[in-house]
Amino acid sequence: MSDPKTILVVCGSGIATSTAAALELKEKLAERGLKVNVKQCDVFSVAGNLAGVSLIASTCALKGDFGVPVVSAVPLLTGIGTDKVIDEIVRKLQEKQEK
Amino acid sequence: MTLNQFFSSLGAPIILPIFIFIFAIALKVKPRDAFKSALLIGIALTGINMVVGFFTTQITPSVNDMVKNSGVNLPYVDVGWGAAAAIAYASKVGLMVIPLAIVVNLIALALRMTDTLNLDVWNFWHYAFVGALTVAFTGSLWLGFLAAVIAELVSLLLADWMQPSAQQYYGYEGVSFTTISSVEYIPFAIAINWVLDRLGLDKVKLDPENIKKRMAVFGEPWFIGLIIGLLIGIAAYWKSLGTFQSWVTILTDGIVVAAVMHIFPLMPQILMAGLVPISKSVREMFSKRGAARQINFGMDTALCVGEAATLSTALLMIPITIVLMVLLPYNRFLWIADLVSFPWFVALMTPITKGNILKNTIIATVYIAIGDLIITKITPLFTKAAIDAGWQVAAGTAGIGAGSEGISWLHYSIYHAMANPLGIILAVAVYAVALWGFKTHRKAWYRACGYVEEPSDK
Repeated sequence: MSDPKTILVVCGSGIATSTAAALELKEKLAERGLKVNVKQCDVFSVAGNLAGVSLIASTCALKGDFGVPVVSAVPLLTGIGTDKVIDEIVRKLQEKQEK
Repeated sequence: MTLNQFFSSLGAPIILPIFIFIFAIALKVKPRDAFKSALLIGIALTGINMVVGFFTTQITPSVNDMVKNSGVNLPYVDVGWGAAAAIAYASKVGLMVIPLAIVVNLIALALRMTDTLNLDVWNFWHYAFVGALTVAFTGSLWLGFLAAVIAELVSLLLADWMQPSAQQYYGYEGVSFTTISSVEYIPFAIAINWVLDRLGLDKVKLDPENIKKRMAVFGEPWFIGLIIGLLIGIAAYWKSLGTFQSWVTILTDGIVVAAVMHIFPLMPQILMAGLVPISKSVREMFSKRGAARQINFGMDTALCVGEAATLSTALLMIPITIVLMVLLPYNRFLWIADLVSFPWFVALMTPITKGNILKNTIIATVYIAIGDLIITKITPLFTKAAIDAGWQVAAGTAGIGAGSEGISWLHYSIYHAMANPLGIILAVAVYAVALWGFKTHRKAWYRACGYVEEPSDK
């Protein structure tokens, strides 16, 4: 079992929506037996926070190429389509592992 | 001992957790999670108190010296919206705002006054905030609750109004945006945008990638803090720049403000973590009743802020606001912490201007010029509300405020209206007329927000 991966959760301020999304993410991934580290930051500071990050989960329509997959974390906030997004995150993390 | 004295002696960091615990249990949150939520909220309030106290103690001498020595008359210190949220939740209105807002929303839905089910529990603090200002202004707790209710109904109406345009632009289906500090600028943006289009400015396109690249470091909170801190110090001690002591103070100011900008956001983060089990419970409760009719889920505008035009405008507004705050003769407000709050301010302007950065920036600049006037007038009241909520503001501080919250024309109008029976009637009448106008001319109102009708619309 490899080291826990790090996910960067991004939102407008790094305070409110990213906290809610981060907590939900950790909980849902733990249910699937996956342990992850979660970092939070605001939308301006993404480039400076990429060290060691395997995936970005964004609640704010983030665009741009950061060298890692970017997944929308909005379903984690609305409760609609949560399982689908968790599936996608698990899949992307596994793809990264296999590289 | 009266009930009031009992509450005041214990203070918000104790009372609010108790209420939150009871409320969480009522929402069927597990006792262990409810207890942790309650504690986290008390911890967050204590932490925010620590930072505001520290920040004002450290920076007030330099701010006051700056006013004295350089004539830069900006004695009111910006402690940011995180502090405003804490003040709001710690106030007497804040205790009850979550259950109150939920009940009002359910009634409004049943009466067809709105189509939005507001899941954004975090942002209920805005309703509590105008309530706290009203209590500080009028002395009446009931008027404070009424103010909160009116603010909520207005935000729901504006959210419904904007929904199709926002969905079209941002792609979030079934979601509306209820954050007051975004929706209240919709009418303003529509008006100014109309003027700018007549001037042909919709043809001028600025490049977002270029702006983001040049201004990227500008957007990092610690950098903004460092620059502002150094500027305050230099403005305060420019007459004695030859002395070692002056530079000690200048450099200290720089690092202190950078530290506050970087560390402070961790406190409201804790507050939010405490609220998560409750908002999850609320959401689960609601989604069971959900799909009977076409309901929008009300969310935080934070979902929109990554978009290029919004972000670029927000970055441009940082230096613009700094220059404006110095140049405007009627302004007394020193923008610091909330220089990073512009994404929310701009997010709902973008669908109206169709992503035009120049128009966004002009609209935002015009509003900030007005907003600086409003916030200069509001700050004494804000400071009073903060002290009433138990914050330790350093002695000698002329006033504290939150940039993004204090410029609000809606808050300003509401608390003034509440002070006068005629005002209350007027406020309710304006809302009722707006609601009626919206319900009878939906399509026109949607189009005003930038919604373009699709062939699939019936």
